[in-house]
Amino acid sequence: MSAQPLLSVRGIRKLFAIRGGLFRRVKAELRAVDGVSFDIAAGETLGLVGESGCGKSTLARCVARLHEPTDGSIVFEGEDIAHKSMREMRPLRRRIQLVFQDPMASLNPRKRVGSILRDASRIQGLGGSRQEERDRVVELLDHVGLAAAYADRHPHELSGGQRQRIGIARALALNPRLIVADEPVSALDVSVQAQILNLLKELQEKLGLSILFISHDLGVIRHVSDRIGVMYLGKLVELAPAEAFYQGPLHPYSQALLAAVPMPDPDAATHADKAIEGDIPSPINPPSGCRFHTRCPIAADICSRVEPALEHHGEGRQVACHLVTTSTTGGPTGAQAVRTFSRE
Amino acid sequence: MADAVTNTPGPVSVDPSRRARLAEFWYYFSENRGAVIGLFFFLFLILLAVFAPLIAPHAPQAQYRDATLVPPFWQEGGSTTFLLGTDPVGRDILSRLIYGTRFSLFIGVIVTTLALIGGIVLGVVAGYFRGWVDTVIMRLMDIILAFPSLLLALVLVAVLGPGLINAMIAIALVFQPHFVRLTRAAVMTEKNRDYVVAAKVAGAGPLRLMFKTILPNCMAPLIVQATLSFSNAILDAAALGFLGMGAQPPTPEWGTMLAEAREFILRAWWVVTLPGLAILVTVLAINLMGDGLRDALDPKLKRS
Repeated sequence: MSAQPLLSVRGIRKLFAIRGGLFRRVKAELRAVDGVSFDIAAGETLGLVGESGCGKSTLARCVARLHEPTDGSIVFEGEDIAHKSMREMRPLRRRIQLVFQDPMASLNPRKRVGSILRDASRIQGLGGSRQEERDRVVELLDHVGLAAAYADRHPHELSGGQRQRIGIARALALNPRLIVADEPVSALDVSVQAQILNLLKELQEKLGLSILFISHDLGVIRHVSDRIGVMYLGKLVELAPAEAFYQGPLHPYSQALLAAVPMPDPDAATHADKAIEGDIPSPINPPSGCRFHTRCPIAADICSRVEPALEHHGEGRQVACHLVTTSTTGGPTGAQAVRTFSRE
Repeated sequence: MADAVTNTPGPVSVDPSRRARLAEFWYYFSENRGAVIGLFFFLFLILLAVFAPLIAPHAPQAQYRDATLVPPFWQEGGSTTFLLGTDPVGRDILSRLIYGTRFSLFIGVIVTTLALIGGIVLGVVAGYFRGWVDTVIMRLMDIILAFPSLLLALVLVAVLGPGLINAMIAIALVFQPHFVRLTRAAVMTEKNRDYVVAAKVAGAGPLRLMFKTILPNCMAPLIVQATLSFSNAILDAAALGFLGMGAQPPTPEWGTMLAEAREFILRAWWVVTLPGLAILVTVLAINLMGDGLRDALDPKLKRS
């Protein structure tokens, strides 16, 4: 990507201690995020997919610095924010904002929309006069396609889509560079989902935002992302430009995920047989070697012993799999995986 | 704060949603007839307390030496000068009861306010920070809860010295744990909601999060508990007064009136019965009102 990415995450890890017993000793560690690295360029959208429990949300919360990561660095605009104290983070907060999954829970039920939108800048000490604040609220509402009259409503008087628009407007209130959207449309009706996604894209173009978009829905991710990252059990297993990813994912897990997406095209080959079985293993006691080997349809000997690193495979693609080889023509192929599936 | 801003432009606009909420509140509240009766009786008591000098026929301290232990007017020997009779030193009981309303309401307000403020601060801190702060605060509250409340209040008053103010402080302390527990529980459920996280992402400090973001959403159970404590405070203060540890004679406090009249129980029923009835009816009214409030404010009980 570009020379100086807006956000550069390197080897970030977040462990949660599980305490128990009489003296609340640490009994086990839950590795929610275990060594994830990626960049986000200015104006780019990185989509993160993965099953529930794979650490997507924890990663989002680390980037937004609601959690302090156990390890690793988060360089934002050239500054490492991974281990800054809450006080040091305060002035930086306005650069990174969150959009939440459940728009009802994310809006203070006792406050009116205008007040919700004003609060962020008040907290940051950017209040200004009443007229300025009022104008700013109207401007924010206009950004998200709502009339100024909504400023006097309470959240419970709005529909789900309108609430999420307010959630986005609040995130924009501080003029952030990066928006971390944690499953922003999962709680919405499908018809409303598209509106919100289009709104996000529109705002991104207008304001030059970068977005870290987290979802479990590959269809949604495809709609908004420039690049896709696939997470499995706290690790990134594949990172690829969106187009290339949807044409031919390399990692067997990505292939299985993509195969599980229902296809509206009746001519498309059905991939029901590729669906992986079983549940995601426990992040407290992850499998040895490649974490996916317990469910991988093509797992070989080496997979249970050696952990594959995320390696470059040209065209900006990175995959963590022993069995993906870069062919002589230069283009990467998930060769073995593809062969296995085509034989069936 | 916010309301002021939104209301500034244009003429004073009544927020429709607030009015709707009030209407909804009244709808649920008025379904409970006891609660409405309780509310009106409580309003009546407030009027009595405020206008006591205008309503009371005599001064509460005035002693009519030629008219001691006069029975109420409907009994033989009673007179309409003293509608509810007089006590052993010739003071008009009706006037003393009316003035007593002032003390009872005063006790209720002060004790509830003290307990509420202390309970909210401790509860919010415990629920927000958890960890050892939480443990220390909650174990302290458990210790207070482990004592029978009146006994503890009695001990505290014995230490502080008898008197109405000290009695109120003691009762407020005894009531503290209930508020702390309620607040803590409510804060713990609200703390991890997304709107709090959103405020945190905007850079809000812990104080703002605790008292401006979280607390207003925890008020419903506290309001109910405050009403119920109000009546309990009156009851406990009367009990302390009766035991000679609360308001001191000649204060026309209901519990103290009861204590003064103890010896005359058999000879003159009205000196004991009437202050007792006043306490009973007041406490009953406030409790009924509290029940209605709970029905109206607790969303779990609402039928949609």
